[in-house]
Amino acid sequence: MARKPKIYQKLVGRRGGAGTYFSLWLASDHVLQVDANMMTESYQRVWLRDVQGFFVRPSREARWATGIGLGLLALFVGLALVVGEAAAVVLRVFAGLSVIVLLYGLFFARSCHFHVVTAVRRTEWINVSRRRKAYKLIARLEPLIREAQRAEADSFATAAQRSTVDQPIASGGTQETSVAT
Amino acid sequence: MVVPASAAFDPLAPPCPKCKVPLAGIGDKGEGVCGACATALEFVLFPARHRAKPVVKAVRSLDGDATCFFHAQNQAVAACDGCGRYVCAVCELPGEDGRKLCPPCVSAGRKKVVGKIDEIVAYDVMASTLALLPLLAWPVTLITAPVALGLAIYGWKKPRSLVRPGSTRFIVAIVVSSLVICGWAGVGIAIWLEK
Repeated sequence: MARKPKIYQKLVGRRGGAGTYFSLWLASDHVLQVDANMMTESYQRVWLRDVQGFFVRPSREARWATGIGLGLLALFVGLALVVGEAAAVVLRVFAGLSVIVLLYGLFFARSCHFHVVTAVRRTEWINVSRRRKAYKLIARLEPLIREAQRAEADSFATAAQRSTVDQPIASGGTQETSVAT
Repeated sequence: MVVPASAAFDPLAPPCPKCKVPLAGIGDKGEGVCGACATALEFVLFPARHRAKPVVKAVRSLDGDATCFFHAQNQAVAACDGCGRYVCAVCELPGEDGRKLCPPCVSAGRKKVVGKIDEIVAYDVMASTLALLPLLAWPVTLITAPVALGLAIYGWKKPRSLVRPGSTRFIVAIVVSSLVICGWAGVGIAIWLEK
């Protein structure tokens, strides 16, 4: 039996908290946002022809995590140099934990918020949490969106001819009119 | 560059993602600061923001006209290809393959088309999780293994994930839970034979 062709390509994934997982998938004409937990998967579609814009605004989480990690690392390393050997071992362990916080801030913490705007909705794609990821995503989607909207503009020229204007009720119709005497 | 907050409401201007104030007078790409909330922004905008969709208005019905099933004051312009009801210009919606449908038929059609579903129950994830996770505390598998097997069998024919429609998780759940059930059966038989 022939395998079904893959409709979706994965764009971005990010693990949320406690068994939740958010991901973005690309189809030919829309982006699918998948919110998954242990029991259900829910979907939101953003049609490429409807996207009005992407906005990227900074987040302070990465800066705070990096700053805290660096500060703690400096503190524990500094203390480890002046205290005795026994305490230095403990301080080195804490310094190691500080390195973990520092690495989290540098590579995993949120550095930006990514927003998608359409005519009827503003959505934040929480999976896009790093600037580099955001720029790569924009670079990938921008040509597809422009192409989709170019095609849509042509079809709207035809659809605009369908719009009609309210016509007044013709005289002699069912509505009674009072006549001044 | 400071992006000014619009003095007058511009329905076509995209809103600031933080304060929702429309950002008028900005180009298609660039950086700036929202004039209302001072949020730094980088943006890429597309032609869709300039596009106002044509508004389709219904025509008032006159004596003798066929009227819309949902709006008695509007003139009917088409018959729904799904149910045959007369619909006005507002209620006439495009369906698949160029069909014209009324709003209830469009809504009913969405539920039948797998590609349009908004949420599914992830039986494969539940079954595989119930089959594998309790192995860490193996006495619990006496209960979870049959449940996992039942979920895998029950969920096999249900709508699957749009992005991961494969059967791998189901197969893993069936195999692991079957082995666990066989193991418990063996333990039970051994205990019975000892007696």
